[in-house]
Amino acid sequence: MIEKSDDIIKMEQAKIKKSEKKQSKAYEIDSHLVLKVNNLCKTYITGKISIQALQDINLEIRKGELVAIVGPSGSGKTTLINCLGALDFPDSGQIIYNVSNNGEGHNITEMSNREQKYMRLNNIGLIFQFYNLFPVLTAYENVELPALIAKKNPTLRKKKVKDLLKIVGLGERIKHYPTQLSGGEQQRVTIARSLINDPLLLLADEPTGELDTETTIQIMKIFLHLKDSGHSILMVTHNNRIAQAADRILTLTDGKIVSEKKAGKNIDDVYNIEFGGH
Amino acid sequence: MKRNKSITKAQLKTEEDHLDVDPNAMIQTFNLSKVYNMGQRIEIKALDDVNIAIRKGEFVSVMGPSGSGKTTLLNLIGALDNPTSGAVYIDGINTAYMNDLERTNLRLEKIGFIFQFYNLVPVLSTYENVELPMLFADKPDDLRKNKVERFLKLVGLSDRKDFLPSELSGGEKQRVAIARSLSNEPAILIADEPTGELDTKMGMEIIQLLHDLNKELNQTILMVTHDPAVGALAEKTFRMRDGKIIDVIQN
Repeated sequence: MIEKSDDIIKMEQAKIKKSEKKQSKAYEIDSHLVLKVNNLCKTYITGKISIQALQDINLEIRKGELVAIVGPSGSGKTTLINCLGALDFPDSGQIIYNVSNNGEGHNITEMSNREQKYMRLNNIGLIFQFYNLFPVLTAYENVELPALIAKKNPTLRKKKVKDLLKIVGLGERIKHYPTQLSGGEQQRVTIARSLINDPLLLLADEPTGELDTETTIQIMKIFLHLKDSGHSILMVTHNNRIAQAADRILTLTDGKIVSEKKAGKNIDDVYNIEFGGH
Repeated sequence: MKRNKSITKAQLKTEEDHLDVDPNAMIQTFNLSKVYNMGQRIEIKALDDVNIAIRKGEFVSVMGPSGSGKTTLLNLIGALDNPTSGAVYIDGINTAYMNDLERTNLRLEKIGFIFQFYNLVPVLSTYENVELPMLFADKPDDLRKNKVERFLKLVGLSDRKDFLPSELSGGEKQRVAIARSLSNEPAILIADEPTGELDTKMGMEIIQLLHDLNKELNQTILMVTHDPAVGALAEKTFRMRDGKIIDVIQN
């Protein structure tokens, strides 16, 4: 072994101290803040008309929180979800996942395509109105898909797929094709699929838009169950009733958040009041 | 398409059917019926005693009003759903006798599907969407890369390979779906309203592409459509109503 000179040893010690400092910083991450959005703006230009789809959006989502965004058609809800999911790109502003105390985290607006892809696959779970299942794959295979692409361990992967399908109440239907499932069942498959790579946040765009009342309540109960087990969910919806069961409701109008209020009502109560106990 | 030389259980059982099988048919159905139970006493005959035979390399369209059973027919032929009674033969084998693995192989290797709403995975790029069925069929890396690039070239999307579905037009999305359906070079292509969401010009481009593929790869194509102009571009048209084939037209 070559003996190191004092200088080199000193330098290395300093390096170690530095990295220790960095590590201790990492421990300070505020696990409660999974998403922070700062001053998000997006303008669409069609011909001579420019439409401000998002104007100076600021929001925060904490771990274990279910937040609903409501607002009329064209208010920017889907644009917002697409930007948060790195499927669309804002003109300005920041979208930061896993925020630490000093406000730093994974800022997807500053990421390369490759890094964004990694985020979409591993850290963000997406759920859409029209389910977007692969028609030629079974429920099992549809849920497995993102894990297969992320090259997750096959043994763990198989167990996880089955566990997730059980959580959404489809343990007996794993071999069924989308055509053999009802709309609500298909949506439950997409919820299981969105969870397969343990995302930081679930983004749901009108998850109950195509469903009847009874099925809507079932789906909302699944979201509430997921929230209680520590998942963070941001849901865009037309349905002001189910929004009442979220922790908070943000109202979006003309690309701006115009109000924010606490909700957290019991889902069964919301519907009982609405239908007079029927 | 490579034929498996060892005789499978499904083949043996098929021979015991003693049905009048057309040796030139890639797809054949015998008294195919599908009944849906809605509520307790209401039965809907989505498909009622359908007998059709489609030759290898034939381009056939299925037309009819909404609810006439077109999509049900495609789902049964594609083994995505089970019939209430009757049989579907694909390349001489009764699909009802296939085990799970054989059915999976049928869907992954023998039949390609395209749909009205493209059914692309929104979070994956053009390239990755096309690669997907090969990933499932466990194909080696080199072969996958090779094929994805070849098929994207074939559908004219080589310069769009890193785009997400949200960045593509409807016609481009359908081209991706077509490239994806080709990835395992299936003998059969099943297309459910492939031009349903497209304007006339784009729709015709897609049909032209299907025609080219039909000639180049000798694919058997079965296409459902609402549009008479599109339907007439196939060699033969089956017209359906109330779950039955009411007419066969040579175009």
